[in-house]
Amino acid sequence: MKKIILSTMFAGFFSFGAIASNAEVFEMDENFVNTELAQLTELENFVVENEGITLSEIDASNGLLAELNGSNDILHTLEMIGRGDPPLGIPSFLWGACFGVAGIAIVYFVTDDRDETKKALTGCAIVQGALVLIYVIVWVLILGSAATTSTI
Amino acid sequence: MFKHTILILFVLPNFLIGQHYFRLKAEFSIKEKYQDGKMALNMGTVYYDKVIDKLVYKMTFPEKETWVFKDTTFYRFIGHNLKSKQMLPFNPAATIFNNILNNSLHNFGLEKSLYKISKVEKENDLVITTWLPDKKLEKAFGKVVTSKKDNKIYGIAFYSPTNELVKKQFFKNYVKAAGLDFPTEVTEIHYLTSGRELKVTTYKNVVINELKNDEIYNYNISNL
Repeated sequence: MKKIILSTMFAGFFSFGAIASNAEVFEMDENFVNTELAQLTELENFVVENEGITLSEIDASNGLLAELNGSNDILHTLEMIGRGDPPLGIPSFLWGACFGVAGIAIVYFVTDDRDETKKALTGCAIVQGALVLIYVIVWVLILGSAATTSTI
Repeated sequence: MFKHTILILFVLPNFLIGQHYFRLKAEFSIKEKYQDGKMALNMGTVYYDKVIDKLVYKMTFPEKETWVFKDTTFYRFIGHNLKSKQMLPFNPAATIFNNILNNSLHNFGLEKSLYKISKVEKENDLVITTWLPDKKLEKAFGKVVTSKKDNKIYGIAFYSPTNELVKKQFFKNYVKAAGLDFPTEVTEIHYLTSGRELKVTTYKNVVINELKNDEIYNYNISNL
């Protein structure tokens, strides 16, 4: 579910999808995929053939390592694996803060994640609390002003 | 007679629901190519137990490490030594593995979300469903289009509110593992202003409800 809703951060992303029919969208260019990943496929085969070998044990001059990101980029990898994301990539806190109960509901239904929902709830509570406080202050000022005026 | 009817209607179905799937193990490889031309390869074995709610990655490449996810805490071990511990916005129960064990991968839980089916069409061997967000949300959410082939999820496409395709995923090469459909190849393409990013995850040797390796499924993170 986490992969279903995408971030509005991507709103400006280039796409040919707007002009493609739904069926065309699901045509996958296998050649493109295979060509783009050919080096990694070769590296994968090399690793399988040399069972247990790690990156640090491969000769750095090996051409298979060209352009390879050597570090374990956990966040990026997790995104691939299917980690839980807040809806649209927007922090759950902001969902609750900006959209109130509706924001909490969105986070709850979209993420199905208790912690994310709690963050949305916190955001909602803080903003609503601040609004109530401002409301009270404004009324106190108005009433105070009215009282002063009537006294005069 | 009444008692028998009650028994048939309410009790019997509980015995007919089928097997309870709670564990999954698979060897994986993730190949990624970023828009800047850089690439990454990660390989290893993933273990997930939905009752314990722990997700464990025994990484073998690029380096031998163990990643453990419990609630929103991520533990990174080298050998049995804790190398780091951090909070991550990650929930093991929100992964594709949980969907597979729950047999709910077919529509990604969209039917439980604020999306509604707008159109269903059949083109060749694909059944294509267009999902639209609630009217109040259509300025923030784009449409989602899913396709099924042989009654299994084949592809999913995500659009921006301005109807631009931003990402699509393909689920292919399904295998039957203990009666569950498991896509052994997941291809993901991101469309960015500066180009495309590509990620392909492949799985093999899928094992469901393994009764061994308890020490991995329930990796010890107590007192950490």
